[in-house]
Amino acid sequence: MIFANELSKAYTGERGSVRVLNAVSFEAAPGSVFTLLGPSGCGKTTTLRCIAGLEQPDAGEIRLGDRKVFSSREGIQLGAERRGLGMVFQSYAIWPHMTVGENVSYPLDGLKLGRAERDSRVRRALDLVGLAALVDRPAPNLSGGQQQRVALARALVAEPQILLLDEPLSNLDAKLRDQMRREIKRLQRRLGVTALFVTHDQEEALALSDTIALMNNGEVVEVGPPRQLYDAPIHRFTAGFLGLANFVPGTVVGEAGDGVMVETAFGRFAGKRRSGTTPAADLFFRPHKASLAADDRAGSLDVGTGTVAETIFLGETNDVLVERDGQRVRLRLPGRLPREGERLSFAVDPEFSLVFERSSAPPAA
Amino acid sequence: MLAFAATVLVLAYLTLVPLALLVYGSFMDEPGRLPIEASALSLQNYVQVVTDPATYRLLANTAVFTIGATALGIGLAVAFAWLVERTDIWGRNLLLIGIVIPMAIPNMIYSSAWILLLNPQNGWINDLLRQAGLGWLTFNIYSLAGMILVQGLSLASHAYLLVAAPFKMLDPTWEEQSAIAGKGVAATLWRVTLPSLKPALLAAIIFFTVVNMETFDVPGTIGIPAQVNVFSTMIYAATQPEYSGLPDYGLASTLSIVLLLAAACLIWVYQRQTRHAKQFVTVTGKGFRPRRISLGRYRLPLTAIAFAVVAAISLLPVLMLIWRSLMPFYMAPSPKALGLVSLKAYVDLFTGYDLGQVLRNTALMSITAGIATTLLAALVAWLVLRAPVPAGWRSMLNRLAFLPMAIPSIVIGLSFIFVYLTLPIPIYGTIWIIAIAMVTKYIAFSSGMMMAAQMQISPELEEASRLAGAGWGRTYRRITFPLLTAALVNCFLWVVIHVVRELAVAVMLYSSRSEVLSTKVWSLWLGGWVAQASALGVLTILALVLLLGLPPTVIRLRRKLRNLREAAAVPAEA
Repeated sequence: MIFANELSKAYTGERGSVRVLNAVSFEAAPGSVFTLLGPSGCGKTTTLRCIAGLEQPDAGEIRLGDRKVFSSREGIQLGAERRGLGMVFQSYAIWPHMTVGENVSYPLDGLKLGRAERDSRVRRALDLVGLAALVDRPAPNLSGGQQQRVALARALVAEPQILLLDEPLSNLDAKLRDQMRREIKRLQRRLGVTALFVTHDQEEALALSDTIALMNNGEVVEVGPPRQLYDAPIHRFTAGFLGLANFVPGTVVGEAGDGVMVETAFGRFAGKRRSGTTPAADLFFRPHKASLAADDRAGSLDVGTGTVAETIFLGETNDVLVERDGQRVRLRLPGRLPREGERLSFAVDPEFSLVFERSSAPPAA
Repeated sequence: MLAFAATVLVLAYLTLVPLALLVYGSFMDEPGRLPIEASALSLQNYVQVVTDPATYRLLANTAVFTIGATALGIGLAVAFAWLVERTDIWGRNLLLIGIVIPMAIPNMIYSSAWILLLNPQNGWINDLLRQAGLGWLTFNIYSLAGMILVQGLSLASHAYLLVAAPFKMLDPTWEEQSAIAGKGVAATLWRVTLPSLKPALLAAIIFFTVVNMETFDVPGTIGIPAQVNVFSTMIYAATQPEYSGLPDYGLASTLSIVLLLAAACLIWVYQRQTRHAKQFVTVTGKGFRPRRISLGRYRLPLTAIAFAVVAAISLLPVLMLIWRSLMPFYMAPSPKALGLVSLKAYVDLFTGYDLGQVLRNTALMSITAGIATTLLAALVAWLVLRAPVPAGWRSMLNRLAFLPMAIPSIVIGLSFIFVYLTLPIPIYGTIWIIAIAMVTKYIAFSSGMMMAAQMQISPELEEASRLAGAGWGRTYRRITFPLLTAALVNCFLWVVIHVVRELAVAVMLYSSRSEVLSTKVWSLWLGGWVAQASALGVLTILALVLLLGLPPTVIRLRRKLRNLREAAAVPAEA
């Protein structure tokens, strides 16, 4: 288990101090993959480095399992080498002056193991990542994917309870990344370690995580399972950051079931209210939650109508921009490619429609 | 952190303590006494320095010598860098080897060789000129002009290494663009090439101005007998009873402080210059293909001139030195004199002059200084770049390590006399005082070198080790240190080469028990044992050539070893 409570940190530079972490709290369940996701500069890497012990927060508390490794109040600060963690670095950090075997056996140095036990542990770790044959290979002669595997074996060889992964896939090409993603997930399940994973790639986060903590500006915005964050975000930032999103300006005109009804340029839609109390609000729905509607349904609830402004053929689906009164929405409509200038009606699944407080930012289209 | 505090203390001990005693000594006005023995302090030395007309002569000499030698040295270096790196001149590799040979010749020995060639009585070149009826062309080396000539020629080789790199990396399309705009070779050189290299050249000029201002070897060997003094020789003379009766440490300190301040100002300008130099990047990296300028009909004459100059810079002095070492007494090189050739001077060195002791001293002193400087520099580099302490502390450490850059060698020697005659550490008169002074002398350069190497090691490599359960100490030992091996070896050899060459520091601190190669050549030469001095000079040059050849050899060996290891690892793949 990883437990972070109210972590705060500021860097003092030449131009005053910059707050990089602001009361960051979360709890990663044992044996799960917990992901810190967010745009660059949001504080996710700093958080990970604080957990690792490579940086020291100004305030807060960190517990790993039942061990308290950092507490500003009690003056506890355990060095990185005494936290018993495994970590895969973004650059892999494979030591170039050692062989694969020497790299992997390094974390066993402090454990006072017999030679046979040591060799068998190294072999097992390399077997896990499928590199047992390369044990004597000098580290500089490895491909990117092999380095990644060696880094993983090295992180796991001492059988840590917790594995930290700092953007481990960002230096791989797309095909290899897909493969390694599956492999990491499989390994994590098999060994039952708790994995703390840092990434800026939302697709990676959605694919790998049991729980995602979305971060922005040094704060945790929202925590939840990938599906929940994607389909039913609480915060507008979450809705906008994960996947494609439409925010359509409108006015709340009444109740509809357990939600509200919003009048927009395209029509009336029902949705659950997430934030704000004023009539002025933004309707949120994802482009692929819309479908073509028959013309005779125009004007009914959850159906919008407009003119096709732009279309792009994407293979599996079509990207369609529909315009009305200067507003635009983006739809993902499979099947027939609509003509530009055509009048089009679309239905939105009210199950996935949300209503947020009006933002000053221009609506996404 | 303990290591941080300890390093600051060691650096302070190596630089601030000697400087403090130097300042203290400058307020002392009793000749023959040390700072610690001073009964009263006064401004007497400063008054004397300011009011004595000799000071202004000293200033003028130093200025003319410094500017003249810098102009000659940098001028030659730039000319050769352009010819070798940018044009289609013939025999570029030979020219390159020729121009860097003086790197292996200590300046005191280089000066002696030129004295043999150009002294007014029987200098070989002067003799030849007189025989050819060109007596009016003879040149007296015992003059300010002679000092400038020798220092300038020796400097050309050092400066070449500094200015050749920017010439090599200059984007050739700039020159091509100028050619397309209808400018000839000369106009392109003058209007495009040199101006775009201005920041690099300016940095080199300032740097070598400091070197010339503080150098002792050439002024000591040529200037003292010629009675042309500069600051460094005047400081030396003030401490030597044979020149001034009683050693006047107070006056020497005051002169040192004047020289130190001048050097510090220039070093400050140099640092500013090199910091801003990054803004004028001349290297593009993209679309880079070295293209050489065709010299056309000047190709042959320029090649001839270049080879003649290189022969004068490198070949002539070395050959003269070898010739003189083989002659029992001076004979101009001729077929007739060949019959007199003997190895007697070399035999003498081992039988009559206790060369074994000198070699042991030199080896022990230079290896100790080399190891100590390299390790301290590596520690400073790591602490400045990686230590988990506030950034302000780290930049303070950086500045402390860079400080000795501004301290002239002769001043280091003088202040170390004070330190070890004051503190109850009984190493005065041993090789250890010289070794410690050498650490002070070379710690700034070495720290810079090791910082460049440490920067090449990604912090994640060290962090990965900490995550793997290793503390700072084991991480440094197992990861950082092995990755620095090549840089450590290079730094060590660099220090050893310079320590063996260095005369000014050693000449202030040696005693009959602690003679090293540089001081032995110096004392043999002063004692009139010219053949023996020449022989020892030849041996020194040989040793330095071997040391200079080592780093490339080490790199080649390492590469070969790695290839072997890779070859052995290949079957594992199958």
